[in-house]
Amino acid sequence: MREKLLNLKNQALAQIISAENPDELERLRAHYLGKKGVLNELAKDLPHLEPALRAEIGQLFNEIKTAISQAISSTPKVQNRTLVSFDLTVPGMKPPQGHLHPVTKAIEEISGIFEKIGFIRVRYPEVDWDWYAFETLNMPKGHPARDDWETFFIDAPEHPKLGKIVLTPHTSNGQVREMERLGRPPIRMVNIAKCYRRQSDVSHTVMFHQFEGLVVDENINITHLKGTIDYFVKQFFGPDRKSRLRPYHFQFTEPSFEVDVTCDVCLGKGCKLCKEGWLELGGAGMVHPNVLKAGKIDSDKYTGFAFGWGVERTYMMKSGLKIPDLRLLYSNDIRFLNQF
Amino acid sequence: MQILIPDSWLREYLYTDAKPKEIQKALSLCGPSIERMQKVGDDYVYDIEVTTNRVDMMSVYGIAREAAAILPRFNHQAKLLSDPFSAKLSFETSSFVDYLKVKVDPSLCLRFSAILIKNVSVKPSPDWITKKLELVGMRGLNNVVDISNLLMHEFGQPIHTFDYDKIAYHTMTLRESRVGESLTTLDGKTHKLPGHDIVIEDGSKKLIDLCGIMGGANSAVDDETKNVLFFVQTYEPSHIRKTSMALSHRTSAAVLFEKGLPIESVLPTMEKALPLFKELTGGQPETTAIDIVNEKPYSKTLTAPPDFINSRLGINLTPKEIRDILTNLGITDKIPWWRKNDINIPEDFVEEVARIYGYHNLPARLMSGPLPTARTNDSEFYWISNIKSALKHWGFVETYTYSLIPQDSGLKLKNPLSDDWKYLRTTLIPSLKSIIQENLGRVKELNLFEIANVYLPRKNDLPQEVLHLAIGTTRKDWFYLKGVVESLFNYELGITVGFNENKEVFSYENCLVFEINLQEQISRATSIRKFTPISQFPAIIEDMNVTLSSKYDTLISQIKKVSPLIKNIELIDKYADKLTLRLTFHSDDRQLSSSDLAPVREKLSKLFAQ
Repeated sequence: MREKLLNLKNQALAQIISAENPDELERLRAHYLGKKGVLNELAKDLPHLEPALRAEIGQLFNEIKTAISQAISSTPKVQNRTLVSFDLTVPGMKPPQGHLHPVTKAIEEISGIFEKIGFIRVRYPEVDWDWYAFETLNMPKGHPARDDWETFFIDAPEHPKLGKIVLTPHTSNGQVREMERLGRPPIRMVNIAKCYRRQSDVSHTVMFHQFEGLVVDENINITHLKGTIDYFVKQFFGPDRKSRLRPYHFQFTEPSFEVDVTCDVCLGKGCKLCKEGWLELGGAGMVHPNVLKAGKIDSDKYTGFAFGWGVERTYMMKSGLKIPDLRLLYSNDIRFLNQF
Repeated sequence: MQILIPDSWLREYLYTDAKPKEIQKALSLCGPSIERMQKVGDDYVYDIEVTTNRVDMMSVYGIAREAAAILPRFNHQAKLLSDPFSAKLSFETSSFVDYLKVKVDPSLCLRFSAILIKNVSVKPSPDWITKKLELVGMRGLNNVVDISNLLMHEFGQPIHTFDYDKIAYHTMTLRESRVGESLTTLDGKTHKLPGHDIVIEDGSKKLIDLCGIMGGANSAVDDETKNVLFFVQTYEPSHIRKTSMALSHRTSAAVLFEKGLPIESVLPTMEKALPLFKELTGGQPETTAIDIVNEKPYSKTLTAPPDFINSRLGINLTPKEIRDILTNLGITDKIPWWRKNDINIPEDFVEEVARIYGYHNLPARLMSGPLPTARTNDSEFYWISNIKSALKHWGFVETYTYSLIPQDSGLKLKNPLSDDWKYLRTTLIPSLKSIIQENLGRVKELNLFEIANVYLPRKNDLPQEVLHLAIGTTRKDWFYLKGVVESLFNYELGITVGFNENKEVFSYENCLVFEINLQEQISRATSIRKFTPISQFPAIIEDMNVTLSSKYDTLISQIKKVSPLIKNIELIDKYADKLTLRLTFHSDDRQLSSSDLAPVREKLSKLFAQ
């Protein structure tokens, strides 16, 4: 009897597992568990057993009944099959979905790339003295180069030495501050911060973000600047994008460069959206000896390079993410934010 | 600065076998950027960006000189066809002439030169001039003015022409203006002068020229003009810049003068003009020009050893290669006069050698060497990233709003761009509220957050920049917001924070908002967790219904005091003051039995009955 029951159970479970449609499953249920099913038939023999055996077999009998009925109702196939009308093309139930702002995504990606090659991420004032924003960057008062930055000033008294309080128009104020923090090279920083300029149109927002790289050490030369930029461009934009340096002029670097990246649309062939296949990424250069001197670093012994580019601009150039108006980034329209 | 240069005009000074497209490419890589090139008829016009330190390239000749040095590096033949700056002068110069009485403040004008051209007939220019001017975006006016514009474009030296007979007593005094003096320039605009502008006063004490910016209407050449004073100067740049900025009068002349022009280009420009005047106006120049020079002749030597240059380039050029590159640019150990503004230190040689050699020809390497010391609060970025990621996964949308807002108790801008951006914010809440307001109705529910600096004013110092976190939700459910805050700080940062109305959390018509000084919390954050051994004995879990008669936290601490066997209390459900609490009873050293729990239950029911 005991063996008979166990075999019955194994047979039933095997049949249930291999059942291919709900009808068959229903037939199996009737066959085993139905009023006139196999189990009920067997149950009729129970009273004829010896009392000691009866208890044991009775328990087994119940266990088997439960096992079979559970197998029928809980096999995933059965659940699927019972929902005959379930349409697998209907979207699933999603957990709540939040979104990070594109600027955060860009900053995390950018800092990750530079941290891999030993850059330390730092944070310097976004509202700073004229001294750090201009004066120590080889831009004395009244210098025409200051025009390039449409700067906001704070309505507050001037400091006798450090000058006015400005909303930093670039992250380059971090250069001399990092030199002061470390006292002496090696310096390898990436400063990412909010910047402000008095300009608002489709390609400018009054507030934006920049990332500033600064490397100062013995024997740093132009090939290192080129190597670092190449590394960044390949990592950030992808292996099929190239970079190039063009001569330019900034007061705080000598030589100075403009860095271009091949256009993401035509990949350098030249199209309507770019300048002969190239897009301008931003400025770079070898740190001007006057800036090193302002940071109390021996400019005979140490050399360095620096670059400072817009986070938003760089991100826009990445992936064919065509945003017609940069101000959209700060509109905080939920229909825009939900796309990222 | 932008300048338009027609290919045909360039080739008047430059011989090369390079095609326009090739010129564009080579110059963009090694010199001034040619951003666009436009085909006009069978000519091309280059649109060139010249950096502010290279005013010597703001002319046809300047670009030709640069191209002649660059193109051979691209295997093109290239050479300059002539050098107008070393041409022999066909006139005499003197600091006194009988036709013009002059008094010049030497600190304002580095070179004062002029020549009288008599019996001109003012009329339209021939086609070849007007066409040339049109290609570079200028309109032909009359032969006298057109000659000036043509030469300014060709040599980068601005020129002015006076109607000689309108200069009272043929006398000029070049001086600083006084505050409030006024002058009408030849475009008809009357300017009230800010003072310390460079002006010329004639013999009748009237102002006839706003020097370096634009001439006076009262002395301008017109159709009736018979005698022209051809006027070429070098002004002190910072004066020009100040006046031009103050009056917002940015003429081409001002843009050039304010960069500091060399005195050396003055007489060659005049030399080039005289035959043109004879040919186009029939005018006869005097034999002697007045020429007052208030600057010592330029002579500067600068040297840099090849090792120095190579150490900055990161490659090894031979001394001859370096010398050849520099010589092609006209640079020896003596700096040429047209480069006096931008070559001052040995690093400037590095730039010249590197760009002509070609940045594209330099290898790219990553630096080796030791790494710097990290900041002490370096982990800040790690925590911020964790917080953002947690909130995102819980369904919150991150916002970035301007730190400048219309009203705040914080710092005020001196020169705001608009009333919407006048103050630096000291709290993130107003921005968050306004986004919520704007987005109402666009989605069913808004759950937003922002992490940004606020700027707290300090006396006689920079503002304190403090990182804040603000969370806002239109789900007006305190327990939801509190749950998010608790999970965030307890689990992500391992700390607890306050949640008090009107301190950290605020209720508004449409939303609940939480704001906290995140910097302070991050400084306490820890990823270290205390390990509690997992008991081998099963816990007993019971749900109990309680009517709340005190504060929740008071009740909980009372329950905890009942027995050390109560290891955990969880709020399962809440309706008005009816709570369902789930209590976990647990012992580390034995299996709990009913008899263990009986006295605890009794105490609890007494407590709940109170």
